[in-house]
Amino acid sequence: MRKSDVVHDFNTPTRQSIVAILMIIIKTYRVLIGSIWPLLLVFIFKDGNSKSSYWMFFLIAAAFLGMIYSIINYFRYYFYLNKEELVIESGVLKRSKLNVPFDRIQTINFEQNLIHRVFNVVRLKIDTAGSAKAEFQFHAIDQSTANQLRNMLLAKRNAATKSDDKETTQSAQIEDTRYKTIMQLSLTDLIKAGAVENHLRSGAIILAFLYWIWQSLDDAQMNIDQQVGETVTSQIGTGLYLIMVLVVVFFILSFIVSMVRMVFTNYDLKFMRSKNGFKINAGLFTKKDVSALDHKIQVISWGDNPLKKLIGIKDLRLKQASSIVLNKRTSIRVPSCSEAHVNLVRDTLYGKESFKEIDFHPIDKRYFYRNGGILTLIFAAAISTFCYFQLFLQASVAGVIAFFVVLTFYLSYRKKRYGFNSEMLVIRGGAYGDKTEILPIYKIQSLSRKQTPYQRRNNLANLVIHTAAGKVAIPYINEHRVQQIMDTFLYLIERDRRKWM
Amino acid sequence: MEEKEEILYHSEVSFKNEQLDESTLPTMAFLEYSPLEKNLLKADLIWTILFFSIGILILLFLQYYIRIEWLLNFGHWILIGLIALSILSLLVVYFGFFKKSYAIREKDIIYNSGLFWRSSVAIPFNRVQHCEVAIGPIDRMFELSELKIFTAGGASSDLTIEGLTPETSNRLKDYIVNKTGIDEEE
Repeated sequence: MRKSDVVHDFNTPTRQSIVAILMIIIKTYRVLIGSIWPLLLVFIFKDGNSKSSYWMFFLIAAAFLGMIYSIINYFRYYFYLNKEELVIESGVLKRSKLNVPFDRIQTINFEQNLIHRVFNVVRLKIDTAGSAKAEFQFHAIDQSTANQLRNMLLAKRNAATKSDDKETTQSAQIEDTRYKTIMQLSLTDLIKAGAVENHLRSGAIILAFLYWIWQSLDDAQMNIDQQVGETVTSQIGTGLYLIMVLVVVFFILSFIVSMVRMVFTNYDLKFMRSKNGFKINAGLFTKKDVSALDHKIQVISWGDNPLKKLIGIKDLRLKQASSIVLNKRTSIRVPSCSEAHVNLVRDTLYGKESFKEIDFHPIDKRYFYRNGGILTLIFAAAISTFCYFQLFLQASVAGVIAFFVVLTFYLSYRKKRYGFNSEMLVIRGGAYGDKTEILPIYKIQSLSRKQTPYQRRNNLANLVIHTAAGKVAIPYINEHRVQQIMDTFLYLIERDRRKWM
Repeated sequence: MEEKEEILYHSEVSFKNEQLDESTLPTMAFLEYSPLEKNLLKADLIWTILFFSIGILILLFLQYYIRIEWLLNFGHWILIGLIALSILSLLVVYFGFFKKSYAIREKDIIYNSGLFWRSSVAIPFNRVQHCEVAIGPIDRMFELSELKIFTAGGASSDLTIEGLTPETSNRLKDYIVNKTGIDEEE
């Protein structure tokens, strides 16, 4: 009998696949290295002297203990199903028992990295509702067992929720396994999408790093220059030249980085729709399989940048409820969507009707005056200080940065719009690109009004809206308006009987 | 795209979009807000004084007993700074206390705070995950307690109201838990 034909009933304590030992060892080592890396650095950069054998012994001992710990950990880790819960027993020194009632299970996701694929096993992630520790995972279970476990858990959960009243069954339906593909991305799509990523953001870090290197090189250079007796103007000349080279290098580097990232994480991407949720499937080395059930999605947002606008693609995000605040992994990101895809997802989730009669309002212009004004002052002070010390290069760089920062504030003030009806809240924004966030009002968890002394003098306030997938804010609106919106939203939330999750 | 739309399953949408007259909605603007217990002010003031006195004592100890060199020259400036800071903190604690207030309505709780940076938070009871009453050792000395209200909105949307008597806290907690319970049954 082949291994895959074994039918499990999971009533007896079952261990994970033996491959899990490998995963646990890797994880343990990661934690170990994470906590002792300063020591490792000392060890590596130490010149070979008498103490190195002592260090070596320490490292080998740590590695050995880590391995023993991982192996024991594997053998002490069981799971089984009883009448109404999934039970997981674990722990090396301190035994712990985790009980997960079936009706608490939200989604079950499979994930595979390279090692998983070689051994034909999957990492099983289970997402639960409510409790503080919302997620847990099995490191490795072989594919057929995992499928059986998933089907059994879903069936049991279905039975468990059905025995409750009908309303809960409606909102917490089982994950349907029949999917229809909404969109697929080919390699050319990905290369296109990678090319129009926000290089400025990913490159800014590289630029800062390069500037730092240049600065320290320049410090060394300066001494020589002074000895030769070079003038200030030629220093500016070399500075500008270096900046030009850096800008080119920086763009090429960030281009490559975002391209590689895009292809690796979204290779062979499939975005699918089931009866009550969305699912995404992608990855070159680490295959990801993430589901988002309709009732778990709290906020959806999409946006672009000038480059993306040019070729007509958007980034779509479906943000799910999670106990870990706005963990990026719980939000599904679909790069390279067309406008039609976005509309399709929006209308599938909320229905076209939900967006009727939404009037959009701007925010107060003092948002720009205040922020722009303060930044202008700070930059003006910096620029005049640079000029005083005859650092004209630095002054001009600061001037350019100041211009862009103030421009960004101006554009984001101009683009910020909010609007709502009795069902949906829509917030539009962005500076150089566009961004839209929408959420059903009944999914709001709490509301707060924040006011700085400046805003109080001008009868303005910020409205912050907390959802289970992070917060959204509407800055600088009239304080009475904030009051009205809060009253309206509270009323709508409090009378709504739908489950937010 | 039109074809695709047909084959997709639609999410269950139950939409109602009636007109709301904002002027007839219940408003939180004219509520009577309850202040916190005066004991909280006492406790906070005492703690601020204690905190800074310990700081000053440590400074004086280092300066005149251990005789750290640079402290002999600059110690008095640090001392003046510490005293100024303590007076400032006492003022902030004192006036900030009177800005803290809360109101309980039938379906939500509202909490105001902040001397310079004002904030008011409103949490509807049907979004409360759970409630907790915490009484620390210091709280016990002043007959105080904290009411903690948790939502699924994460740490930034959770609410902690310090400075309630344990009886009030427990009563409020029971009220809120009762409200959330009723909501789930319906």
